[in-house]
Amino acid sequence: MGDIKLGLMVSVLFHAAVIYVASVGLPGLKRDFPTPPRPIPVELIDIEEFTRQKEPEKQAQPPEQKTSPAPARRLGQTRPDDAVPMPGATPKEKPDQELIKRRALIATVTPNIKPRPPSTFDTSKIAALIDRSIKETTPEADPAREKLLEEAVADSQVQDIDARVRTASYEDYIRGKMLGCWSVPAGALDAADMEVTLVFSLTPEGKIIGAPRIREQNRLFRPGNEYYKIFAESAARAIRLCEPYGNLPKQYYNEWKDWELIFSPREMLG
Amino acid sequence: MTKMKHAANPLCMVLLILAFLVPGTAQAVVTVDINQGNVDPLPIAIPKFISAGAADTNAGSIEELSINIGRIIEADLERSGLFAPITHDAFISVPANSDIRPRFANWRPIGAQALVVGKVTPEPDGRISVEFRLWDIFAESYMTGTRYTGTPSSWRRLAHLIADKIYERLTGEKGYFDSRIVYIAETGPKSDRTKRLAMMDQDGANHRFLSDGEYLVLTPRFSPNKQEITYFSYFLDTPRVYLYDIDTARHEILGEFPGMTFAPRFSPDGNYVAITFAENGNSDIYIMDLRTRAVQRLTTHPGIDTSPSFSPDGNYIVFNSNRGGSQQLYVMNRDGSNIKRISFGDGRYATPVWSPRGDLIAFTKIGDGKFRIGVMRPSGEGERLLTDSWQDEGPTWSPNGRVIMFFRQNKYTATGAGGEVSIWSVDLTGYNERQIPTPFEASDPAWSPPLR
Repeated sequence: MGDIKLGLMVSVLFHAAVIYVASVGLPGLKRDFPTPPRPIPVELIDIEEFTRQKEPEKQAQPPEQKTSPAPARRLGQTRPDDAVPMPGATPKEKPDQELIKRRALIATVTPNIKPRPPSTFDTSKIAALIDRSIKETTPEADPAREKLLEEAVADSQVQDIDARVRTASYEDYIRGKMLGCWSVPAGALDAADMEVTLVFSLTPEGKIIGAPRIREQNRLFRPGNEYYKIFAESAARAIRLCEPYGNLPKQYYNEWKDWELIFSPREMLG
Repeated sequence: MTKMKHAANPLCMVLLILAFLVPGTAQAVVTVDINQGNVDPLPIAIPKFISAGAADTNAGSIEELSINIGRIIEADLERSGLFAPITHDAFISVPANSDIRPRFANWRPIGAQALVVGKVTPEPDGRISVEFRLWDIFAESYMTGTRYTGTPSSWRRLAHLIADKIYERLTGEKGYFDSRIVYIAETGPKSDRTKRLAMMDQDGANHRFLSDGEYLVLTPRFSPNKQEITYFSYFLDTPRVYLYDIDTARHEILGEFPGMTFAPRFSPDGNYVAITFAENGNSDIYIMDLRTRAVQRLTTHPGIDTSPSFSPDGNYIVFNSNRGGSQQLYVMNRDGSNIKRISFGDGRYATPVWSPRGDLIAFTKIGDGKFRIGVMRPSGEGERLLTDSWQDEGPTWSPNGRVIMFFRQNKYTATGAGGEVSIWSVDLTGYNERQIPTPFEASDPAWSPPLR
C-alpha cells in the first residue's frame, strides 16, 4: 500500500511539475521574450560605438541561444541517439523536416552567431544578469519549446512594445480616475492592511457591464470581517462613480474590455 | 475505498493546476494596483424625514421633530469630517414614502453616494418612533435601517442613535454620537476662577452643571461602563480624588490616603481606579479596587510618576515620569512590573491616554514653546502631532478611538487679555479640527462611553 501511495504521489508530483513547467513556464517564456529587445535600443542610443558589437548579440541572444546550440548538437550527435529508441523507420522523415526548418531558422539567424565568440565573456554574464528567465530555460531542450521560440521570434516585437505602452497608459488612466473617485475609508484600525480585488468589464463606450464583482466574495460574510465588506463597497462605489470610462481607444477595445483592480491603501496610510 | 481516494488525488491535482493556469492564460484583463484614493468626505443626502402624522408633543409637532431629527443627523455626520451632507436646495425630488426603493437616478446627478430616508410616526401611547433606511446610490442597494421608539423629549438621542448607525455602516466602526462629555466650566475673572463640573451631549446640547462651583474641580474622568465620574477637587481644602454617581448625584471620597491624590482614571472594566498619591513630595501610582477599596502601590521611584492610563485590555498602564531626567512616557504591566520608556522625541510628554481601540496613545507634548496634542503607538513608534496651536492639552478619546477632544487656551495679549479656554476636537488625520460649543469657557474634557 505504502509503495503504491508513494509511487502515486511521486508520479502525480512529477506530472504536475511537467504540466506546470510546460504550461506556465513556457507561455511565460513567450511573454518574457519581447523584453530583452526593449532595453537594447536604449543602450544603442546611449553608447553607440561601444555597443555596436553588443547590440546584435543581445538582440540575437534569445533566438541564438535556443536555436543555434541546440540544433547544432542534434545535427551532429544527438540525432542518431534520438533515432535509436525510435522503433520504426518512418521517423526519419519527420526529423528531416524539422531539421530543414531549423536550418532555415539558423540561416536566418546566422549573422547573429558570428559576433558571439568574441563576446562570450561579458555578454553572457550581462545577459544572465539582465534576464534570468532566458538563462533558466535554455538548459532544457524541448521540441515544444523550440516551436514556441520560433513563434516568439516571428512575433513582431514592435507591436508588442506598442501594446505594452498602451497597457501602461490604461493603467495610468484608471489610477488617475480612481484617485478622484475612491473615498478610502481610511481611519479604520486595519485599513492599511486591507486589499480587495474587483473585476468588471466595459462596453466599447466605457460603460460598466453588469456590476463590479468582488473576487473573494466569501470573505464578505466571514464574522469579524465587517470592515472588509465596507472597504470592498467603497472600491465598488469608486468604480461606479467613475463611470463612464470614455477616454479609452475604441480600436483597442479588446485590450481594455476586462479589468481587475486591486485596491489597497497601503501607500496612503503606511 | 483507499484506491478511490488515491484515484481522486491526482484528479484534484490536475484540476488545481488547471485552475492555477486560468488567470495566466486570460491575458486580456488589465490588472492594476490601486494604491491611491482620496479621503474626501462622502457626499450623503439626508432629506427631511417624512412626518407620518400631525400630533403635537411636548417637544414640538411631529413635523418639527422630523425636521430637527434630520438636522441633528446631518450635523453629527458632518462634524465627524467623514461625511458631507448635501444641501437640500440641490435635491431634485424628496422621497414621499420611506417604504419603497428611492429613485436612484434622482440622486446620482447631485453627487450623492448615500441616501437616508426616514420617517417620524407618533405612537398611540404618546411616544414617537423614528425609522430610517440607508441606501447606496451607485450600487442601488439597501444598506441598513432601524426603527427606534422613545419619548418625544428624547428626540436628540434618537437622532444620535441613527447617526451612529449610519456612521457604523459606512465606516465599519462604531459611532460616537450618542455619548456625553464632562468638562470643567470656567467663569469669572482669571484671578478668581470658578470651576464647575459640567456635562453635555457630545454636540454641546443638554448642558448641565454637576457641582455648584464652591470648590475647585479638575480632571473629571468617565467610568467606561457606569454613569460614574471620578474627579479631583479641593473640597474642604484637601486635594483629593472623588467619585460621582450621575444617577444619584452622590459625591464620595476615593480612598483613605493620608495626603493628596490626583490624576484618577478608571480601568476598562470600571472596577479599578488608577491614581497618583503624593507623599512627602514624591508622587507614585496606585490602583484601587472600587469593590473592596483595597489599594495597591505600583511605582516606588523617587521621581514624579503620574497620569496613569490603562490599555483597553487592562493589562498595561501608560504614565508619565521624570525618572529619566525629563518628563517622558512609560508603559508598565498593571502590577507595576516591566517599566519601559516609550517616548524619545525632543521635548516633554504629559497626560498620556490609551485609545479605546488600543492602537495609539494620545499625549500632550510640551516643546518649542507650545503644548500640542499628539499620538504614538504603544511601542513608542509613529509619533505624530495632530494640533499646532499655542496651548492644547488634556486629550480624551472618543469611544471609537478615532477622535480626540482636548482643551485649548488662547495666547495672552500684551494687555493681559486673552487666555480663554475652549474645548476642541480633532480626528486622527489631524485635519478635521473643530471647536465644541459650550455656554462658558471650558477645559479638561472627558468623553463618556456610549450611553447604551
